[in-house]
Amino acid sequence: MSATATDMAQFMLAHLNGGAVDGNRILSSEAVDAMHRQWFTLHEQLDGMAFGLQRQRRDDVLVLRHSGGVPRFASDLLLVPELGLGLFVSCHNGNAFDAKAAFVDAFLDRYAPVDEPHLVPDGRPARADAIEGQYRSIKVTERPTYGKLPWALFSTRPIDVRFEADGTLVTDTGGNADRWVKVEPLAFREDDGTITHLFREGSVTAFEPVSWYETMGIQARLAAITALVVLSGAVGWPLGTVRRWYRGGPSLSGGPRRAR
Amino acid sequence: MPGCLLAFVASAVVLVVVGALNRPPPWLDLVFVLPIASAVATVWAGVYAVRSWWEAYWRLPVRVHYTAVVCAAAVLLRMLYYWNLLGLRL
Repeated sequence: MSATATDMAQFMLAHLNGGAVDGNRILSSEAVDAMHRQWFTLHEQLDGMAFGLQRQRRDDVLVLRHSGGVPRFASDLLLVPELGLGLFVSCHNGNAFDAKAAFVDAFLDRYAPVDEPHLVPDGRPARADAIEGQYRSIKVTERPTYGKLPWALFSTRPIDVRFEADGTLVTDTGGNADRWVKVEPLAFREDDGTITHLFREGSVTAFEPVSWYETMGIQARLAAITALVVLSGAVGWPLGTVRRWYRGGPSLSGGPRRAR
Repeated sequence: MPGCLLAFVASAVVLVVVGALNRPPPWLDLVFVLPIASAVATVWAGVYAVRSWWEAYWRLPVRVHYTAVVCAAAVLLRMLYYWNLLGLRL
């Protein structure tokens, strides 16, 4: 579905004005309320999803959002109903995702600022080793089709999770690092004590931990090395045959010939 | 076997580079035959890798290289399986 920025502005005004814009009603006010309430959440402490809009809180101010993008293109739609505020932004080119994120962050900091309490981390938590590592969106890990690799490469970014010495939790998505201070004990599923998912405020999808050999850096190196070794066979085996033929030596027969 | 496997890796790279995955071409299914054929060929070559040591087919460096190529192909195929690229999973 495609729309112009002007149409998106009309759509947002309707959402902010109880369903009508310039006397034209496209939604009942009840429908607007229903679309803004929570329909799903990954965890009761997260604001989860409204109807097609992702909910998040800036202090107590509700922000509704729907972002999206394809390689080299990123858009975001934001509604802040309490403030009668809307934003629609589209960026293109190689750094579209970062440019859009930087603009939206600056916009929210200006118009819906968060009062950052001064929190002091209380040291590395007991389970820090189990928590640290790379996490990948379930949009990738649970994808059953060949789209898994293109999604991992172009449409999502893994989260690198680590603790600093003082216990500050850092979640790093490709240079875009957030810092977290623990305010209550971390939640673990108690069955066998392993971490199965990571949920975070401001993300519609859950993330799964990936093993060290599943991280993109290792996968890329492994693919390059194995492809080179296979290439040496693809080039070397026919060359060996040509060389034997050229030198007039005995050609392979039986098992050694069938092996190639 | 190595040629077949590399042909798949190369065609996958080309498809991604030209942006063909947004509109998959109708012959995409055919491309996925390559890794399946490679897997069969790798099993075949694996048998001969073992026999080359057992029956001492070639000089040592050749045997080492043959075994390395088969092992690399096996790892690459395992990676293709992880990324849903081995078999028809469209």
